[in-house]
Amino acid sequence: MTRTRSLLVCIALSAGAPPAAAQLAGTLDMGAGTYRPERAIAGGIASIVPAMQYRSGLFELSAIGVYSDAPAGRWNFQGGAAAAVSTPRFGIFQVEAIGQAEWTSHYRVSGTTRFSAGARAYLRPKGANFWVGRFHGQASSLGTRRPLQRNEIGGSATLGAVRVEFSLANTKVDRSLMFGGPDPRTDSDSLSAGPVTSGRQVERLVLTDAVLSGRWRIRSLEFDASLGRRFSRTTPETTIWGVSASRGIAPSVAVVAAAGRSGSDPVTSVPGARYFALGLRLKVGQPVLPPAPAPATASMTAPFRIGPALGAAREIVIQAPTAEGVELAGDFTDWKPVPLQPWGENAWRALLPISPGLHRLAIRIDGGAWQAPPGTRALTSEFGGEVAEVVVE
Amino acid sequence: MSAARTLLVSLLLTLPGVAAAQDARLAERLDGATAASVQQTVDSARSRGLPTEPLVQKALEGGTLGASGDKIVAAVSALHGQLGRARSALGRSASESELTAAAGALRAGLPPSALSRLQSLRSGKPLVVPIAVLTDLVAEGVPPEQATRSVLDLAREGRPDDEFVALRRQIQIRRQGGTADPMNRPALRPAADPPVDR
Repeated sequence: MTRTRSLLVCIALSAGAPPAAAQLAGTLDMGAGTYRPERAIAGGIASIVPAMQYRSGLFELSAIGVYSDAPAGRWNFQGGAAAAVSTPRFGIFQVEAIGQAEWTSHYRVSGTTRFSAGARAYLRPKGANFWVGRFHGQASSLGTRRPLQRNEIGGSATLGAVRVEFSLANTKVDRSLMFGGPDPRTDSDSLSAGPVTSGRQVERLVLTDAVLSGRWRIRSLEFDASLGRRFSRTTPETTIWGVSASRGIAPSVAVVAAAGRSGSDPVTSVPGARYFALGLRLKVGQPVLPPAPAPATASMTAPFRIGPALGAAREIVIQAPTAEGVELAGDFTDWKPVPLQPWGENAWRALLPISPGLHRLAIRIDGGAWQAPPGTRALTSEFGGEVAEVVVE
Repeated sequence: MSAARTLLVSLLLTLPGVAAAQDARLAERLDGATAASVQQTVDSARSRGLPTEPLVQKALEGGTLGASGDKIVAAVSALHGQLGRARSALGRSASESELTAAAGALRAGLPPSALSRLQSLRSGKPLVVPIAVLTDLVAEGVPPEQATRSVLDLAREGRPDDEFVALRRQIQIRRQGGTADPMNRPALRPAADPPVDR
């Protein structure tokens, strides 16, 4: 309850983030292919996959649905939604609280649900990402509910043009509950494979998924590939894999192809399958990108902004809380230093005529060295100082 | 006599023109020798039909950043050459902003052919943002061939300026270790069959 309340408070606080930071994007995949489920009839299949993602400040919401139409009128729907709230970064450290929901619906058969909540702690050194996570939740399938727990560890890095990610996820679920037996958590000694309680089998499923995945781009083709292995003493070990490729053919349209083997889900008893599909992807909105990481040094923490045209001038705002004076020079001032005026508690401001186009500029705080404004990429001038180039639209 | 008078009148008319062409900002902010050298380069650019304002701004930048006269003259001269090569790559229709951006791209090590190709793919749309993004990617450490390929792909697909900016941010985030474009996930996996009681 406390955890839920904390999550809600975080979401509410995050919802107050400036609307300008909000991004919404979506895709719609439509395609057809072949589908060979475990212990079921193989055949052709048509799928529609809507997906959306929303980000506002440190809050992110994503949802995806997969509707597939199989032969003989059989249809399946698989949905998932996740909400995450991140803390600001403390150096290379960041924490994220996550709530997830997944569910399935099927033709003439009851579906499944799975809810979980947890947290991930990230270390984000330059060029890489490492995380550990812990989640608790509940799965419902075939008329029974099962508590579940997942611990995960992972890392990702960019190697040349390829982005590589590796993850290990250990899942534990009390399978005894699916037979209506007493809650095995009251008897921790019985939580190993095999023992019998009250005439019913009590079993804790423990499985570890190890997945290596990569993404790379060759000209206008983008490839994804993943290879994973499930290790378990209580369920069959399986290898899962997937490859996909997409190529943009118009600003918002791409051709996509995918093939692979999805693993069965021992938690909900949803079977795995082999598949191949070919289709189109329609994109709506801009890609939703994570917020830019905070600048590394204290002197660079203030944002820099050139606002829209206000008559003949544009507003320039620099936040420099500890500064006693801020000057700006650029090709729109003929490189004459212009003092900015204090604005509010932490900011400095000026109204200057700046035409659309590429501009070169620098700022100076308290009469120090010329430097690129915070939040811009610093260039080393031929003259030894630091400047920035910005495009004004 | 009449011819001599005509010549004299012409000279008198021309001299004020020459005086007006001399940039007062250079004389105000630079020492005499440096201002004169820079003015020569500016005049040369004007005679070739190249934009002169970027050259003046480069000199003024040097003055503000406290550079020596020699460094200022050398930087202005180098920019003059880059503007010339940029104009050769983009043609006479390129705007001053485009030429300035293209000069920066050449300075960053990109080949003129990349700029020409970009211009042909953009078919009349402004080039400033794509060129600035291309230059930034190279400055971020992306190999020039790879950066050029990425930007040309977007241009080929007719993407708007926003998407070039998004590409730059995406690559910055990738290089900083974040996740890029999470919506671009593996596609089209079919929905699973119903659960099986085993």
